[in-house]
Amino acid sequence: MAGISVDGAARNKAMVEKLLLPFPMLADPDATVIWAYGVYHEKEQRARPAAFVIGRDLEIAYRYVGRDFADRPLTNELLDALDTVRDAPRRDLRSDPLSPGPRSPADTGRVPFPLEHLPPYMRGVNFALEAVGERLSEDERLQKEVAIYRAIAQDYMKHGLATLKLRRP
Amino acid sequence: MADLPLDFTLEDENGRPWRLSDKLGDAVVLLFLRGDW
Repeated sequence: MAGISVDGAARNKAMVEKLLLPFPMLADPDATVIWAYGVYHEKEQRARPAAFVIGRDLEIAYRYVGRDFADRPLTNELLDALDTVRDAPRRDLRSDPLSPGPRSPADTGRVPFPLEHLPPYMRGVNFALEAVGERLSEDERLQKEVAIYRAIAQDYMKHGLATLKLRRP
Repeated sequence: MADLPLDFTLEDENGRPWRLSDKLGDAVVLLFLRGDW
């Protein structure tokens, strides 16, 4: 597994250390790979949240491209896809150079979110979504969206707290 | 868009090259993230 974003190596290193990520974070500052995989968000000039499971037979067993930053692939779908390619025969991937990406490499300069802020922030998000859902309870489509986003916020809160616990000496 | 997967090499957080084709001895999960955390 690897994560890919437009962030540079220094920002990625800080993120891996902050969140105790058990996988590498790859720097794609001009969005070459992000563009080539079709997940570049033109307006935001960064990747859409997306996931690909690639079998060693080079089949794409799973592809999920989120509509916005909160539309994330589901862990159980990823794990199910991995099961489907577990015993696939190996094929070699051809290496051709990719065209340069569309983005001017630049760090945003924004200070990363401290991990300690994540659980209370997500708790607030969860409450705000609950209030919105109650105000518009007659809208079934919105209710479904609210439920998905609340589940994501609750997930972030839970994992943020678990990561904080792991980081304590 | 070209047929996926496409091979690529990017730097990891320690500045080391990470090449997709080197990792395909097994299945690989690529997570594209918003970044700027």
